Amino acid sequence: MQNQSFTILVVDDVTLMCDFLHGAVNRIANCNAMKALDGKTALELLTTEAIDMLITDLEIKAPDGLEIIKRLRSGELACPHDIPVLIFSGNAYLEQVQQGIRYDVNDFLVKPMSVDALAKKVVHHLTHEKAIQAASHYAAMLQAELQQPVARKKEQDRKVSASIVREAPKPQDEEPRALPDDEASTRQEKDFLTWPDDSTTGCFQLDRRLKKLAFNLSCFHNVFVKNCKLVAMEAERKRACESIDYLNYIVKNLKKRDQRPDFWIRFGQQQLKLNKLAAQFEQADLRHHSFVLDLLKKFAYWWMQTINRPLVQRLKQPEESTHE
Amino acid sequence: MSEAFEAYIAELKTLDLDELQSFYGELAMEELTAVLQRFYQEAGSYHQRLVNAIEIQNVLEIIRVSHSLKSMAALTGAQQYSALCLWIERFMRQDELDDLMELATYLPALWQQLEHAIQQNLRSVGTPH
Repeated sequence: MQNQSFTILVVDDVTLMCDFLHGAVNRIANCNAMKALDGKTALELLTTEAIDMLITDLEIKAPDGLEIIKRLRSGELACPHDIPVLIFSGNAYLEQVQQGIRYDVNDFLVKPMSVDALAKKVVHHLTHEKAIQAASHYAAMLQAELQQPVARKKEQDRKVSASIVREAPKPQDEEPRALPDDEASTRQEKDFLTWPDDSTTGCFQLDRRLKKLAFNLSCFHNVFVKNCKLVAMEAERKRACESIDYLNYIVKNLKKRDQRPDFWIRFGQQQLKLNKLAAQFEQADLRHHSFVLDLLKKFAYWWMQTINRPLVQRLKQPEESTHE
Repeated sequence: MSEAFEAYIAELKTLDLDELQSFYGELAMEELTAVLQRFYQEAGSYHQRLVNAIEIQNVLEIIRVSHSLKSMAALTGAQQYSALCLWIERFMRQDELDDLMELATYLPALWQQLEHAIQQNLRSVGTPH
């Protein structure tokens, strides 16, 4: 410690706090501080500079403190993955602490902290090495975390069964037999449900975005009727609005490629209605229960209007076209 | 609720320079002035953001801003204001909007007191802010 000099990166999005940390670290013998006010700058510095210790707040502009730590420990950055990492935060929520422990954070410092106390902690962690596992261990953990929501998402997607695009009929050798009325309606419904999940191009892409929108609205509905925390409702609302934005984006791109003006005129009318609802939804005060419920009913009605009259009745097969 | 908060802040100071010194270490007068000025500028804009966020009831922004203000104020020795931000953040995380609206009524007064205390300190060392 006496002969060595250390470069310490301090990260906090509040300038006053960041400067306090910067000043405090610079006062420590043989320590030289670098500062970053957001996650992006921190990642750049961790990649381009030889950093010996990281002190970061958790709630900073994206990527947040935990994400930086995960990427560092997983060896994604040019900087050695086993440098000491100290979290400097005003809140220590159980989940964040548990995540920090999993990624072998060296210490949790609670704001505000005196210069002297901070200096003691820094010196301690520079001189006492903590056993950090191989980067591959953390990378595997991170990978598992990233895959988990995808798996869950796929599971959830399967529960959504509505679609506006019908599946292309499979070639059949024998003549289809006449079905009793009840069976025919079941079959029609079944056809509606068996979409190729892996089709991600063309109209199937539109189909998937509509499913996603239905799913997100249903998630919002769930948290809303269960009277969950406002924060949870806000988060679900944001996701639903994002799925509408994404649907609009997909439609814009598809329109350019797809040469079916009739289809797009009809879909455009539905889109207009959807965007009007979305604008109200985005601005709605979530404490106005009846107003939000009314909006959700309108969304449900929009949804039924859109999917109950399939815009593409049937995709033509080459054989059919030649017969015609 | 308001009685509970008033009781909570009764023992706290508007601006405790000893506390500020205990966090920063012994500061020279110019350094102390610089810290106060910087806090006044940065916290002022955060305060305005908090007021706006409360007005439109933007929950996430209220949590984010009160969280930052809480630490900033605590570091500077603005004990009462820091306590108010702590309460606001806590109530928002517990989703108690009615309590928030009651607490929000303290915001202008506590900020004004803090502003006044900072200005007094800056004036006493003859520094324009």
